[in-house]
Amino acid sequence: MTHRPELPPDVQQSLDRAKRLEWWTLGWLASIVAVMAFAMGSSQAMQAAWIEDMLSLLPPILFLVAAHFEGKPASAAYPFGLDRLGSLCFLLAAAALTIMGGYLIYDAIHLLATQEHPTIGSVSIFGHETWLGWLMIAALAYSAIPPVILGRKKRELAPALMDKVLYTDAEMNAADWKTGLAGIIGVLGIGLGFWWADALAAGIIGADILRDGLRALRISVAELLDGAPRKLNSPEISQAVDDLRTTVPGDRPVRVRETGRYLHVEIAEDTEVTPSDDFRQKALGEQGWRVINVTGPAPPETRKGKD
Amino acid sequence: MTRLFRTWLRIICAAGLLAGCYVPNDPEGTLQKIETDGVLRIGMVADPLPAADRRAIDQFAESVGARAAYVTGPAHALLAGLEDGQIHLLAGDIPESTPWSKHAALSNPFPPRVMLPGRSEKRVLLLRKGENRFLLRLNRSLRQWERLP
Repeated sequence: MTHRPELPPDVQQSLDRAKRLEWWTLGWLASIVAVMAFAMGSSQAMQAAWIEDMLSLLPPILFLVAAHFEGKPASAAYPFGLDRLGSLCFLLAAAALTIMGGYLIYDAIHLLATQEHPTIGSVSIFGHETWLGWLMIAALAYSAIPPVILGRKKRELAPALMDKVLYTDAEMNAADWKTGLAGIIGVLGIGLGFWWADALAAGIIGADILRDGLRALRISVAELLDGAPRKLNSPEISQAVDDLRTTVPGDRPVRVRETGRYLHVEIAEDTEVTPSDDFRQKALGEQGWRVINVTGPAPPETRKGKD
Repeated sequence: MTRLFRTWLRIICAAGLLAGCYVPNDPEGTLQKIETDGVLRIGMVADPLPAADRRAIDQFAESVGARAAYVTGPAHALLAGLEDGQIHLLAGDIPESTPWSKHAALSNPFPPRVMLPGRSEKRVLLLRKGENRFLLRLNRSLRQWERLP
């Protein structure tokens, strides 16, 4: 693990492009968060959309952090390199989505149960007292457009890069028009005198976020538990595993795991990986029981069955 | 292409104007009730009512064509009446930071400020939550009144 093969030029190009797109995303999202904060009153769907916009800052940041560190060479403190950082970032992004979706649903149900009637006030614009709902609708419409465009561009890059953080992020952005529209319907609903329209819209946004979050969480847990590589957008095992297995000659056991976009393949010389009692005792003494797995071309006496 | 665009623009403008007349609406129809009954019921949190509050209310009552009927009683009974729709407004040196904001909606602030021990706060009126048309009309009236010399 001292040095890794370089990325193919086209993949490297895609990666650079993805990084640029993520910086653009951060810029646009910051402007949206500011505009929404300005127009946000006590509308629940509006708050839900705003929180979602705040939250969608997280995946681009996590992507950029992961992309920055993933090429770093292995060190004494991190002998396997920092590839697993991609997995960690993916888990964090997925957890954030899940928690937020759950919170939005809880809040919507709570509001509907207590029959809270949302109040939207007014502000003076050019000397005319204007209902704040119109400003909210304008802000929501603005908030929906840039992420959808950026999301579509990023979603094209994700399969080539096999980047799950990027994919999750792109999916979330591309779905932003739904969030914006639900928010607009919620505010219009309040305007027409349907107090429940807003909480209902917030609940629907929440359910959508929760579903995405749970799916991403399942994939990311599999990745962190050294599960076999999964597909980009589902917890099913990737075709790559079978392809690798058929390429390896003979009947040797092949184990594949993934860290972020990279695959780690272990082809065992023999099936026995259990350490010998002698090796455990000699190496760690009392704590020898902690060694449970020895792989690689190690001296035969380290393995069980060879002593 | 441009003709189609213009047609759409007209439809959108017409819809917008129409929406401007009917949006926002009151879920419980407070403003309509006041206009048909011709009575605006005000719960007095301070007795006698400060001059600033009384003038703001008189102005608003006139703008909706209703007469102001003042109600006295224990503060919590007045608040319950407001939440229930029996009373339309609460008034009387109510500061913007009122702890009742959990149970009632606040109007936009109007002068002069409310004097509290050691500080002053902006003055507001309280109304039933979610009655957005009523609130918008009230805020418009308060803004006009503010501009008077």
